[in-house]
Amino acid sequence: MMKFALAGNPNSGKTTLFNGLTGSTAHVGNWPGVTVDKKEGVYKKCAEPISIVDLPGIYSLSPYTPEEVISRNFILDEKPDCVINIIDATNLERNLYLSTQILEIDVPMVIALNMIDEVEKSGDVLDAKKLEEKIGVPVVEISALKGRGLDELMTRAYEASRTPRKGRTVLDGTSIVHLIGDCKIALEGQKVDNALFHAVKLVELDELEVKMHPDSAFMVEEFKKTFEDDTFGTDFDAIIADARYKYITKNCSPALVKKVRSADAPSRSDKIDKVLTHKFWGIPIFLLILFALFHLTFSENLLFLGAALPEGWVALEGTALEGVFGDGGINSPGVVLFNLLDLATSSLGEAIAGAMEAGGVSEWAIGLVCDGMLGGVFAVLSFLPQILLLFLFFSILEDSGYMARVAFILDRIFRKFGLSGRAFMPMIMGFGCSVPAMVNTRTLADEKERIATIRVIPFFSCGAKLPILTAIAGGIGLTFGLPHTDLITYGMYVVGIVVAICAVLIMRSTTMKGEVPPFIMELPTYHLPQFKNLMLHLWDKAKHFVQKAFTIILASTIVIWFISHFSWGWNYLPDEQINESILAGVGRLLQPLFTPLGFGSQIGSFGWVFVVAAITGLIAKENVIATFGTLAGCITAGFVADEALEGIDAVASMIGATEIGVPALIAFIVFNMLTIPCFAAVATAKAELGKKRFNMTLVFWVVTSYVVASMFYLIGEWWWTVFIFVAVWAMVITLVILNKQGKINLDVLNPKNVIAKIKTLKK
Amino acid sequence: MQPIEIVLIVASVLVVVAVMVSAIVKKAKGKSGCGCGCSGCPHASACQSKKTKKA
Amino acid sequence: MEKLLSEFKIGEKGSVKSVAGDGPIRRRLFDMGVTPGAKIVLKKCAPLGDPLEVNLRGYELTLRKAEASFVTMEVER
Repeated sequence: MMKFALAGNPNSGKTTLFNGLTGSTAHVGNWPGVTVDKKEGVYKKCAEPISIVDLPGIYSLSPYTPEEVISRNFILDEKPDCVINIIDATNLERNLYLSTQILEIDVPMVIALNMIDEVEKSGDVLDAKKLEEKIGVPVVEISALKGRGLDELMTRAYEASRTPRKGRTVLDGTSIVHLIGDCKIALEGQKVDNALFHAVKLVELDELEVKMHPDSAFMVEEFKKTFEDDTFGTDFDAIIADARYKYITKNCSPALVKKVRSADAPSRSDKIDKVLTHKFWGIPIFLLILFALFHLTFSENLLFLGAALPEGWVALEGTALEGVFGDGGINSPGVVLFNLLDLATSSLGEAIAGAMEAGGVSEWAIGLVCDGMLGGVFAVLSFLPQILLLFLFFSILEDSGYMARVAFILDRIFRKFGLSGRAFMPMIMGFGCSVPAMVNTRTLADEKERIATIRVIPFFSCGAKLPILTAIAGGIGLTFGLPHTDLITYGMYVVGIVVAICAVLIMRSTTMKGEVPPFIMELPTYHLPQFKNLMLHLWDKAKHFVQKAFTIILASTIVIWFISHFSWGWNYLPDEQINESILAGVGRLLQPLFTPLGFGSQIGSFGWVFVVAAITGLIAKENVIATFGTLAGCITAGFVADEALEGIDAVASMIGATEIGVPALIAFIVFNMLTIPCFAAVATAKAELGKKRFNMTLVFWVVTSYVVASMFYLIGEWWWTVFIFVAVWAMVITLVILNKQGKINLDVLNPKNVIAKIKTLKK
Repeated sequence: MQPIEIVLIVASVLVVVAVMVSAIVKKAKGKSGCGCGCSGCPHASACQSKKTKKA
Repeated sequence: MEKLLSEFKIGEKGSVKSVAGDGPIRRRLFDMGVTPGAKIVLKKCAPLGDPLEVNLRGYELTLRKAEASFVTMEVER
């Protein structure tokens, strides 16, 4: 099948065009760096089906970030039949810079002038024909958003693909064009494809090129010694970049006739930025927005109106919907939806149990269905609305273009941790799912920054961890009668962020030491998020969550149910004997390990459930609560309650039965939040980091979660231990600072060095 | 045992085996087993293919 | 009059005279259009004073004072 590649600047509309051509729902965001891997789809309206590949956005083919390498390598190595170069017509000059480089490659090329509708709206006039004449490849006006011009684009691209095109450079007439010519001939002699492109890159002393063609690079060096340009000396980089833009401003910019307007008139984006990036209010506004997001999702006292309401007004006491909308305060939309779902699933569970009992089905079968199958899945399903809400809020923030502004505002702070504001994006993505967040770090040019960011992304609690935070906080509330459990939930998110900051600080001062990465980034114009797009993604996310629940989680809880109902001798055990099951045995075996965290040997009876739940979390973080759901059903039926409890009440009851204390519960949340993430995230981290670094990362996750969780427990139970911890941390920080200032050298602690030292000693 | 109970056991085993097998198959294909899908993944594509690893 | 981009005041305009430094940062600045002759206007500073937001070639770019100090500008009267 023919293959066409979509290449262009970030935010030029490639992915919108991709969606328009292939009918797919690849995600579109509004900050530089959303697509960081290639996506493929099929265009079916031509004579033959064409595979369309959406490449990550790049500003140039001189790779600065890993994502730019992906695009460059694709065009050079995969040899697409045609490259569709998308240009943001409202941003012509900078977009054409890339075009002049693609022109140098021997590949058919078509320019898509996107966002033509915005150009027309602003009153500017763009002459596509003129541009086509000057540049020498077809130029088609399109609006990917409105679906305009797409068919014409594909027709012309198809035509172009049938004739091979030789690369040509716009650098003719510059002082170094002869050098480029000589390099090209030399490369052609070596049978190198795309000789012209490689020749230009060599003259630019592009790092990848120099590595690949050392002899030609040598030739360039020799020439440099004999060369002297008036303005730039032997600075070939500058000569070429300058020549490209000179060409663009001379030949292409005239095709765009700007409407006469005051040059300083603020655009709509400028006006919005006046508020959002205001000198004083910028940061408070951001914090407020973040708080509002979480408030709408978790709060049990919306807008803090609780005190002002008349008694029992919202509680709907005595009705079936008791407590759903609030109790002492109005519940936020997220909590209302959770309550409704919890109610629905609980009722359904009870109904099924009732029906099965009436049908004379044996007790174990009822247990398998209600606890093993439904108990786990339903426990997790109720959290879907809140997960979707958070996802929706963050999507809106990203699609609008606000995220780039936040990176802009926070860069100064990030710099103190050794990161650039750019690292903010993947971290915020971590609140959705760690996997795409880790992949997104490919937009970071600095390798060490990238590694440090990947390592802390799991600390930004993903959607799957939300049930843990909320359910246990709720369990704490129900068991110990503590109000405002949403504060605990907020607090846990904050803990994650704080630990991430500290971890990065320590890493950047020790093993990931390096220069502060530069921060040069485009601020895209604000766009109103497309409603249709948003809804499509919400639906997609919901679908995948439910799918995950009824496959992975269901399978896990079934297995858990089985091994919690059989003894070591393979006898079936009813609920009351759950403590003698294989599962309980394994749990009790591992319990002592978690004593410093509060859920180890110190809790008798059912304490092993915590350890077991944490381990099942390795498969999928939702499993922690699913496991609780399943086991709670069995335990409460067998021991605790007179009537069968369902849903969150069952979990709370089970927690109470273990006699665990609040600090230990908090430690449990913290541990699960910070420890090794789910298999998928682990696999992604391994792929992004490489084996060696990855192994260190596993250790890092285990150690960090263990230490921080134990801190919460120990300080919570025995407040005076805080002094010990402060002392230890003060020592660590002092060592780190001294290391940074070069006064001492902590490299001796670096595992690599330790191993090397041992090796030399052995010799 | 009642027929419904037999059905239950069979269904349980099927589910568990199916999930495990598909997980192994996914891993062999090199795809990450995230709850998200490829093109529907929020924010970015998470599919790994050997060629796109950083050079 | 020559001035470093990092020393610009808000609203000040000029055109690029030269870009110093070497390596990836410089190349990145070129890729983003900061080449000799480019017209740049300083739009604002971030709430904490750094980074800066400039307008050039029809779009908004943000960069730190450190990176901006590589760019020597000819101030427009």
